[in-house]
Amino acid sequence: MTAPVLSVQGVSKTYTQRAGLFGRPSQTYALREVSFDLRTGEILGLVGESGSGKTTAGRIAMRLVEPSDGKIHLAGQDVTGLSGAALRPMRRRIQLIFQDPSASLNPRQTIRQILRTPLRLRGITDDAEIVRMLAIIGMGAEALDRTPAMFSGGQRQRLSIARALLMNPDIIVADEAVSALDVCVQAQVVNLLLDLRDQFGLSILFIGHDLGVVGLISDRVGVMFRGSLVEIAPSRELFERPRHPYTARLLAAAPRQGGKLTPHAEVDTGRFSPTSVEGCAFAALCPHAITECRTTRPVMREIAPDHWTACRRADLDLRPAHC
Amino acid sequence: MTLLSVRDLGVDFGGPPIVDGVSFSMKRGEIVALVGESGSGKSVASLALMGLLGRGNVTGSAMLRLNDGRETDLARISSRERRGVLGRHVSMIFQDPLSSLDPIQTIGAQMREVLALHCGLLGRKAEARAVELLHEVGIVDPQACLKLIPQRLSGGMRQRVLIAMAIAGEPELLLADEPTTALDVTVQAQVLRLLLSLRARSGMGMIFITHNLAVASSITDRVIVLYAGQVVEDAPADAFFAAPAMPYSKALLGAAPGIDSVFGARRLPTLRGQVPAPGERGVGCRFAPRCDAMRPTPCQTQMPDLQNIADGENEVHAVRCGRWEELAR
Repeated sequence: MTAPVLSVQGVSKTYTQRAGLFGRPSQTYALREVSFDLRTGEILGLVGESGSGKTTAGRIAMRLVEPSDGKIHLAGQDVTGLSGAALRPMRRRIQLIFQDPSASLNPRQTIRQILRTPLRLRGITDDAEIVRMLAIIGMGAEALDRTPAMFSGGQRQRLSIARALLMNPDIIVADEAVSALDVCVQAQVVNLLLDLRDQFGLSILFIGHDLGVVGLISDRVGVMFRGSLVEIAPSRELFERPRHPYTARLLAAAPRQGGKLTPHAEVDTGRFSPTSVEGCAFAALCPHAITECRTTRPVMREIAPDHWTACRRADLDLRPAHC
Repeated sequence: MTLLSVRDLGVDFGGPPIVDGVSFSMKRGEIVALVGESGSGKSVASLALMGLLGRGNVTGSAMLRLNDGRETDLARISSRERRGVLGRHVSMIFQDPLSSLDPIQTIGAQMREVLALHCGLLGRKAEARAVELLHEVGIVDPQACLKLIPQRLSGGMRQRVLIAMAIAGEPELLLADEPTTALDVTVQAQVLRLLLSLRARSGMGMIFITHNLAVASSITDRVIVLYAGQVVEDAPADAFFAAPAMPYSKALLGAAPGIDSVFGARRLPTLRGQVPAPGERGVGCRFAPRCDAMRPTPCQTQMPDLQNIADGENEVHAVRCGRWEELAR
């Protein structure tokens, strides 16, 4: 097994909330004791619903958000405490691609100006590198003097990928990077990311909510629920043999081509009980919960080779019904 | 029985048509998906049906048969007549529930307005009906919900509130434009199920606009694929997902990864190029420049007609492809 290029160990992020002006402050966990490794040359997917902490996990890995607890190692070096000048060389090694390329590219700048910025930071003044990078993302040099508005959404996302790559990073964090694109364009960008991984040996943390896309591109997938990482396994294994009830629930809810839903008078409260501090985060919604689930916090354990789950009920068969 | 019959609907903004000769019809209680990429014309077509375009020339007709047997042409009616139709006979829900709700008014105030306008209900009667409607869309504590502002509700709850408002006038037709795109998968499944059970209860027909074929598959009876402003395939959902006839439909289905079949660093089949801009369409098939099955003749020389290829007499499976028969072999 290759050494991890990025290692997140027991990271938590808490925010302090006060109920009213004189209320007692209380702690809210955005992330809770999350640990995962991104291996060299690997694409690791993170899925979860809104508020599950997948974006926070990506930002903490980049040190854009300070963890409240835990450690982050980049290429074997502890970067948790670094700041200012000591952090800067680390920043170059990990780059972010955002969901909305029209918001992350300056509309007043030409592509030449946009793509020169990362090169300037590396001390390169030559445009040859830019042209070479444009060719890699499938564009010609005529793009250089245009502004972002003159490109389609898919082309803009390619350009923001080019900008990230010009920093010569080891790691790309792609946060919902293809979610805003049409299916055909989405497929092109997914293929481009796979090509770039093969070509440059990049490691990619691919954050998304579309299980189909994340499962397709990723070697391994981690599932997040309300701040906790509840399961992590190789893609196929996770989709065919989920070992956490929440993963099974997500998979069951995902729409399928050729699949049909039945009308069903499902009553949803829309409100969840607050995450229990002691027990499993999913216990209140879990059909398989036992008393212990509500009182003791589950720990991640390896239930099959490379397949980790934070569910204590290893006896469950959660295989999707259609398999 | 036919609910809506759209014939030769066209929309232009002074230049080449954005929606070009779109024809389809739907039965009472049927759920029809309009699918296509950005720029296919699906949203413009539906806004034209609702009279919400603001500007632009609408041609053709869209006959809606109301429950009382009257017919009205949605493409032609005056804005005065339209006010009597919208909300009562045709309603719409949108992708982003937060931007469709007033952020500083309570849900109760907004629902009372709808009920006064479309149902003539006031005071206690309106209150009671609002509670009933919220209950119908699966909100557990309707009384409490009425007192909240939209900000206090989750995305799924907001979409339910909008659906409750949309069905307040018991419309014959609901237009849903990407209603679940902004929602999480588990919430999405709940909202789709809700729409299905509303249809089962009230017999309301639905046009469901989406770019997500898996979502379309979960709830629709029929799929209509739009490309560059035209209908290129119109098929029963089962036939469409089992054997799409138009090469563009096949490409769309192939480009969307399913969760049952492909995992782990796999590449997807892609389409080269993009939807041609309205001014850049050739004389032949509009999909020809991107089509792997393209032959110079007839594909580049002649616009294929939308022809019915269904076996049964009363069935419709229409496709716009000059080579569909050869390709089916």
